[in-house]
Amino acid sequence: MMPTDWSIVLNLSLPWIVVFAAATVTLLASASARLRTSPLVALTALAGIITAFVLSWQQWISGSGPIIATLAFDRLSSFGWLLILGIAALTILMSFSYLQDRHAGHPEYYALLLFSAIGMGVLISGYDLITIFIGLETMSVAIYALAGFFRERPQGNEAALKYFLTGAFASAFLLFGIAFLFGTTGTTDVGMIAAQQNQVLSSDLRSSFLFGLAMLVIGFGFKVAAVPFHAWAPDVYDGAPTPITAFMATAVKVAAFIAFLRIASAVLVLTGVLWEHLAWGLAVATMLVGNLAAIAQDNIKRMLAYSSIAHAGYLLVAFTALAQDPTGLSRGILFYLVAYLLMTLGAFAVVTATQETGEAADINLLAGLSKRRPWAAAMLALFLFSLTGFPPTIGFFGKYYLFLGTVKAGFIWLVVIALLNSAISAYYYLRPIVVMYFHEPRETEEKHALPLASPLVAVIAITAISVFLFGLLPTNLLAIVEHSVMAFLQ
Amino acid sequence: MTITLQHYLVLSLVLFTIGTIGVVVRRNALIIFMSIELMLNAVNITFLAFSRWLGLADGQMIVFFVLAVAAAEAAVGLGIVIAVFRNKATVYVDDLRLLKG
Amino acid sequence: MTLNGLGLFILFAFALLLAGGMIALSSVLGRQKPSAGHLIPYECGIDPVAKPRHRLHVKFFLIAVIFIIFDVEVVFLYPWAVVFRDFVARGEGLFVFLEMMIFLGVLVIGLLYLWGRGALEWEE
Repeated sequence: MMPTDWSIVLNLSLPWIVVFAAATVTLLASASARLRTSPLVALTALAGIITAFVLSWQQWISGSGPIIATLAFDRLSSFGWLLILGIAALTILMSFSYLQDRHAGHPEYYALLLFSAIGMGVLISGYDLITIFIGLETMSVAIYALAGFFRERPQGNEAALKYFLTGAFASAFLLFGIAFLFGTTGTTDVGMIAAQQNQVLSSDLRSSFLFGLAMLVIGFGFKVAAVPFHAWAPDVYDGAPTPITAFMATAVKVAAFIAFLRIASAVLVLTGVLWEHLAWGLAVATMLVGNLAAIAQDNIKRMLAYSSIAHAGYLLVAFTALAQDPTGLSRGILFYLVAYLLMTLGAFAVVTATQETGEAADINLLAGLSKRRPWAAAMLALFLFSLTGFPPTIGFFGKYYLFLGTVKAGFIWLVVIALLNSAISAYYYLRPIVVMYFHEPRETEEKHALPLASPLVAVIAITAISVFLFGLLPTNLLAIVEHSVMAFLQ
Repeated sequence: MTITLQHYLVLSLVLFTIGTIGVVVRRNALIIFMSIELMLNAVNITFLAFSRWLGLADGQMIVFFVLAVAAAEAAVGLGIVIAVFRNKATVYVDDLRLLKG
Repeated sequence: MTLNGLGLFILFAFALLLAGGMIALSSVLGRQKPSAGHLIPYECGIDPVAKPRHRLHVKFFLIAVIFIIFDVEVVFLYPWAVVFRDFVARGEGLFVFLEMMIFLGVLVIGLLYLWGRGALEWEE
C-alpha cells in the first residue's frame, strides 16, 4: 500500500480506532485496583461505542467508500457496523444493572464486549476470506470468555465450554474450506474468487472448489446455528449471562449473516442449482427443527434460542432465491436482520428484568407478571407478537419483505412452508403471554417488585418504540436498507 | 516416486478426518481440543501444499495467522477448561449436564 | 523403487531387526528371577520421588498460556524482518516500521494488563 493512502485509510477506519481505544482504556483501567470498581469504566466503553456510531452514521451518509486491500468500506459495511454498535450499546446498558445486582463489577466484561464488536466489524467489512476468518475469531474468542464470565457459575462454565468446542470445531471446517478455495483459485479475495469461479467450475478443479465451498457453508452454518449445526445454541444461550445471550443471539447472527450475504451473493450464487438445493434444504430443516423444538421448552431462554434458530431458517429461505433477485432479496434479508435484532434484544431485556437478581428463566416464573410489572409484561407481549409476525409490528414487515421477494423469485412452495412454520411458532410465542396474563403466581412473596434500573428500562423502551414505529412506517427503514445494499452488489 | 500435491492433500484429509472423528467420539474436553488442533494443522498442511503448488507465498503467510489464532483460542479454551475443572472436578463433557431441555 | 527408497527400507528393516532381536534374545537367554527390585520403574537407579501423574500448581498453567500467546505472536516478526529491507528500498520503510510498532504496541497493552492484574507475580 502506498503511503499516500494513509489519511484515507485512517479516516475510513476511524470508528474502529475509536472503539479499539475505548476497549484499551477499559482494559487498562481494569488492571488498576483503584479504577476497577469505578462506574466510569462502563461509561467509557459506552461513550466509545456512541462516538463510533455517530462517525459510522456520517460515513453511511457520505456514501459508499472503496475496497482497500482486504476491507470493503461500502455502505453495507457502515450499515452493518451501525447495527453492531447499536446492539453493543444496548447490551452495555442492559449489563449495568445485571452486573450490579450480582455484585460482579469486573470491567473486563466491557472490554471483551468491545473487542468482540471490533471482530464483528472486521467480519462484516472483510472482503478477503482470511480477513473474514480473523474477524470471526476475534468475535468468537471474546464471546467464549463472556459466556463463562461468572467463573463460579457451573452453568456458565458449561455453556462456555460447549460454545468454545463447537466454535473451534466450526472454525476448522471454515478454514479447510478457505484452504481449498485458495488452492483452486490462487487467491482468498472474494472478488477475485468470484471472477475466476466460472473458469474453475469448468476445469478439473471443479470438485475441489465445490468441496471448499461446502466446508465454508458448514463453518458459517455452525456460527448462525443452522440445522444440523445448531445443537450447541440452546445450551449456550441458556447458560450464558442473559445480556450476553442477547448479544450472541443478535450481534453474532447479524455479523455472520452479513458476511455470509457478501460471500453468497458474490460466490455461492454462481453455482446455480447446487446452491439452491443446499440452501432450501438447510432452510427447511432449520425452520422445522427450530420451531418444533421451541414448543417443548419450559425455559424462556431456551425457547428464544430455538426461536433464533427458526429465524435463521427464515433468512435462509431468502438466501435460496438470492441468484434470481440479488437487490430485492438482500434488501429483505437486511430488513429482516434489523427486525429480528430489535425484537430479540427487547425480549431478552425483559427476561433480564424478570430475572431480578437470580438466573432462573422458567416460563412459569412469568406468572402474574402482568400485575407485578405491567409495563414489562406488555412490552414482552409486544416483542413476542412481533416475533410471531403480527401486524403492525416490525416482525410482520420483516417477514413480508423477505417472503415477498422469495415468491417473486419463484419459490412459492418454500414460502408456503415458511408460513406454515410461522403458524407453528405462534403456539410457543403466545404461551408466555398466556402465563403472564392468566396464570396466578405460585408464591405470594414477590407481589411488589422493586423499580427497574433506568438503563434497562431505556433498552426496553428503545427496542419497543422501534419495533412499533418501524411497524407503522416500514418504508423509511426500507429505504435506508435499500441504499445499503445497492453499492455492494455492483 | 515423487511426492505430488495429491499426496499432501490426502495426508491433510486423513489428518482432518482423524481430528473430526476424535471430536465426535472422545468425551474428554482436552482430547477434543487436541483433535481440533489436529484439524487446524491439517488445514495448515493444505495451505502449505497449495502454496507450493501455486508458487505463491500467500499460503505460508496464512499459516502464521492460523497459528496465532489457534494460540489465542487455546489460551481462552484452556482457561475455560480450568474453570470447569475447579467447579466440577471433571473434564468429561458427559458429566456436564446442567443445561438440558 | 529408487536407490534412496531402498536405503530407507534397509534402515527400517535393520532397526526392526535390532530392536526385535534384543527383546527376543533377552527373553530366551536371560534368567527369569523376578524380584521387587526388578519390577519398579527404572528411574536412573534412584527411587521415584513422586507419583508420575501428580498435580502441578495452576500458576504454571497461567505462565504457560502467557508464554504461548506472546511466543506465537512474535512469529509475525520473522516474515516482517525478511521483507523489511525491500520496503526500505522502495521508500515505504517508515510505513512498514510503524505498522509493526502498532502491532507490538497492541501486545504491550496486553502485557500491561497482565502486569497490572498481577499475573506475572509468582508470590501472592
